[in-house]
Amino acid sequence: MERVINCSILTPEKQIYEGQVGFAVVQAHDGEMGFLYGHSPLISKLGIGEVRLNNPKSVDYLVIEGGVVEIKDNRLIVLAEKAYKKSDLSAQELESKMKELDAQMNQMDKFSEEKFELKLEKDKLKVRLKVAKR
Amino acid sequence: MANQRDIKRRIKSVGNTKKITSTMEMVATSKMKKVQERLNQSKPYEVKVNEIIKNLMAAGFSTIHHPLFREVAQPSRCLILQITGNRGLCGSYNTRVIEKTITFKEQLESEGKEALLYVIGKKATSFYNFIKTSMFKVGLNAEDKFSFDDAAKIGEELTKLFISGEVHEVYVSYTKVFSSANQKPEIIKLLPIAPEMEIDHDVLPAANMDYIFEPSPADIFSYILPLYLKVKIFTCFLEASYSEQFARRVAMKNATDAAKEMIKELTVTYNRVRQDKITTEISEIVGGAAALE
Repeated sequence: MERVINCSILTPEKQIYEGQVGFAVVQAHDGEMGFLYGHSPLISKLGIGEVRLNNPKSVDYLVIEGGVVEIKDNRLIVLAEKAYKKSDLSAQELESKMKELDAQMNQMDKFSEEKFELKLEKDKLKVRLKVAKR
Repeated sequence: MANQRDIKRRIKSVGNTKKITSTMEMVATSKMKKVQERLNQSKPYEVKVNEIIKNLMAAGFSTIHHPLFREVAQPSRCLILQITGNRGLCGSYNTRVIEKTITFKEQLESEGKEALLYVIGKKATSFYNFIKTSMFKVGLNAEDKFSFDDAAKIGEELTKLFISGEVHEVYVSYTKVFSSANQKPEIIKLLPIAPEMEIDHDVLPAANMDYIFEPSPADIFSYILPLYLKVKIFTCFLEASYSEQFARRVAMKNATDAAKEMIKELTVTYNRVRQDKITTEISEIVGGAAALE
């Protein structure tokens, strides 16, 4: 029998990914977490980061922004608040957005609520950019 | 009886109306299909979130201490979130939801509670203004542009109101989709989260108790509950929007059918009037010819 796990990545809007993978890495709340066949049941909080789904032949990259992951009986379910496939992201677009954000941030006071929000936005963009360039 | 030209004019005008209503029917149908697709896409997410909450509860984690579960002994201020459409021409869709909301509000008031209204949708807003009922807050229905972020915003707002103690109970009044052809206005209790999610022991094998929780059940719990609310609101909006399009489609279909029927009747009348006129003319000619001889 093949040692694969069934993986599905869901957002409230739609199902982003469905398929069998050999090895999955997701961004948990405090670092990356890897899943292989036969993992014990686990529920964990997710952070902002990339998801790598390794198959024997290819690797799929996705971005997730917050959510929960559950694995049970070799079935991995990622409930993300937001998720993007690599193919949905364009590095050029993201870079220009990044520049825009930087310009906005430079104009702001050193410490403000808006700046904090922008910082969060920037972190998200960084991850998206990282995945887009893969 | 109306003369030939009047009838012709009416047939034309009814025909134009028919064109408009049948187009609107098609638009509503395509919108309905889109919403249905989104509804289907979001269903597994909702199911999964419920499942994780169940698992957490099955893990023996006490839920009662979470602020979102806290019931006020004597609730005196309630908030009703009413989801209706922006536009009319959809039969009794808006009226039915409003009617249900008002009945529910009166019921709450008879129990000595104060009921605040949070109204989504232009139609309902103008109706409440018309009957001079004050509203706590109003908003437009984003219709097909409605995204999960919008639901999240409303969810956060309601949670804040609830946790700060400004309101003691939150209800949602919307049109629930029972099946693709059956929708009814419904009122559900959103907050405090009712422990209705009973654990069905038959469905959950004992192995569920062995879950590893990262970082801790309490942390996941306090993260997933607001998420649960947002997802709930999101699906409520989608269901309401589906029902609206369905109602509009039915209303427009009826209008088109009625127009067709009317054109048929008018054509019969038109032909009769025309025939009458010809008969009169012939008898006039014959009469005139007879008079000459």
